[in-house]
Amino acid sequence: MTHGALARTAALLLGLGLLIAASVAVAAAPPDLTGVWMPTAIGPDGNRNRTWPAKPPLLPAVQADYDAYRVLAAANPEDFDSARSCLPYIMPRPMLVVAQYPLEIVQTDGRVTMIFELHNDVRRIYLDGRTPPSGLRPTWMGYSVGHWEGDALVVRTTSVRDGTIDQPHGPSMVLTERLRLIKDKDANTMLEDEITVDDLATYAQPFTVRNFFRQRPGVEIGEYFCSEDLWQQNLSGNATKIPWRN
Amino acid sequence: MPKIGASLVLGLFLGGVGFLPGGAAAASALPVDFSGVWVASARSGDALKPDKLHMTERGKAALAAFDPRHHDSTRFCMPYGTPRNTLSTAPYPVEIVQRPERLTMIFDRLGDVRRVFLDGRPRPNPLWPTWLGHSLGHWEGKALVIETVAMTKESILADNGLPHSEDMRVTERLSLASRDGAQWLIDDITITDPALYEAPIKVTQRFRRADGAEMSEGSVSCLLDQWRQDLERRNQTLAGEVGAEKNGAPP
Repeated sequence: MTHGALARTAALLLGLGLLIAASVAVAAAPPDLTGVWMPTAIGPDGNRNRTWPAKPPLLPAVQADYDAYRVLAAANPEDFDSARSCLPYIMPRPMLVVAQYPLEIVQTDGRVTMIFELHNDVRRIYLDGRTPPSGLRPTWMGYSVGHWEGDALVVRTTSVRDGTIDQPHGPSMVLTERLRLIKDKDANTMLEDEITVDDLATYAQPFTVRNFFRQRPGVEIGEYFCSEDLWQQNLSGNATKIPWRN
Repeated sequence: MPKIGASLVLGLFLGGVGFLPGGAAAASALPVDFSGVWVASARSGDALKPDKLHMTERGKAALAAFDPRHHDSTRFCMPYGTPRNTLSTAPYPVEIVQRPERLTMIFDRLGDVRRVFLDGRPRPNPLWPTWLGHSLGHWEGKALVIETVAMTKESILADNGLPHSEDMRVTERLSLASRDGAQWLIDDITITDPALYEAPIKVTQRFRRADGAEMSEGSVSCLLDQWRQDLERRNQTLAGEVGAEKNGAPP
C-alpha cells in the first residue's frame, strides 16, 4: 500500500466512523422545527397540492347541510366569509392555510409552540408525556400532545370546537398529524404536515390531508390584526359601528 | 485525495453535529430560564397615575385629548402594545417560551406576542413603529436586560390613556426571585420619553408563576365577551389561590 492509499483508507475509515457517529446522533436527537415557515400550495414534487378533499366522505345528513350551505354561500358570499368575524380558524384549518401568512415554530424542551401570523393563533403541543386533562372546554386550537417517532413529530389533537359548515367536524374528532422535515425535488428543506381527520360522527371514514411549508430564514412574523381597518377608520374620525359590540 | 476525503468527512461530521442540539434548546444553556406561565400581581402605589408623573406640556395635552371610546385600541380588539401588555395587572397570564437565541412572551391578550432577540443582531434600518416594538436583549449575570424601541404612538401606556411618543425607549431588567416557596418574575421597567415626560418612569412589575393558569385564545376573548368574563373569574380565583394566602406577599 502506498502512502497515499494508506491515507485514503484511513480517511475512509475515519469517515465511516464519524458518519455512523453522526447517524446515531441524528437518530438520538429529533430535528429542530424552529423557524419561520411559509405555507405553499406546491408540493415537494412541484405539483399543486390539494389541502382538503374535493369530496370529503361526509355522512348523508351532514352532506345535505353542506349542499344547502353551498347554494346559500354562492348566493351571499359576504355572509359566509369567515374572515369578517375576525374569529380565529378552527383546527385543522390553520395548518391547511396556503395563503402567504407564515407560521412560526418555537421548539423547546417538552414543547412545540406554533405562532400563526394569521389571527395570532397560538398552538401549544405538549411533548412532556402528559395526557389531556379531563373536562376540557373545546377550543379553536384544541388540546395537542405529541411525541417523536423517528424523525416525525406525531401530534394528537382533541377538544376542538365544532367545525364550520364548509369544514364540518364534531366534538369527537381526533386529529393525528405527522410533521416531518422533507426534501423537495431540488433538495430544499420543506416541512410536511400530514393530518388524519378521524370523526366518524361526521365522515364515513378517516381521511388524510397534507400541507407543505417552505423555510423562510430571516423572515420575521409581521403584525396581523384583523380589526386594523376598523381601528384606522375610527382614528381618522369616521365613526364606525363595531360589529361585535352592538 | 486524502485532503478532499478529509473535508468530506469533516462536512459529514459537522452535518451530524448540526443535528446534535436537535429537538430543543437545552434549558441548561440559558443563564436563567424564564419559561412558564405567569400572572401579573397588583402594584401598590401605582407609578402610572398621572398626578405622580412630571409630564411636559406636550404630554399633558396628549393626555387631556385622550378619549377611551376612540383611543383605546383594546376596545377595537386591537393589541395592547408594548409596554402596556407588560405593565397591565389585569388577570390574564403571559407565557414565556425561551431559547438561547430568543425569548418569546405570549400574552393572553389581543395578539400581543413579544419577540426578544438575544442573538446579538442589529436593529433593522429603517425601523418602522409597530404595536409590539423591536426588542433586543442581553444577559447581565442572572438578569436579562431588554431594550425596546419603535412602538406606535397609537398605543398607550395604561388604561388611563397615558401617551407616549415614537421615540420612547423601554428598558427592562428581568430576573427571578423566590419568596415563601413561590417563584416570581421581576420586571424592572424604565420608560424614557423626554418629549412627553420630564423624568424616566420607573415601574416594577411582578409576576407569580402560575403554570396552571388557563391561556385563552388571543383575540377570541375580545370577540366573545362571555368567554372572557368566565376566564377572568377563573384566573382571578387561581391568582388568589396561589397569591397572598399560600405564598405570601410579593418580594
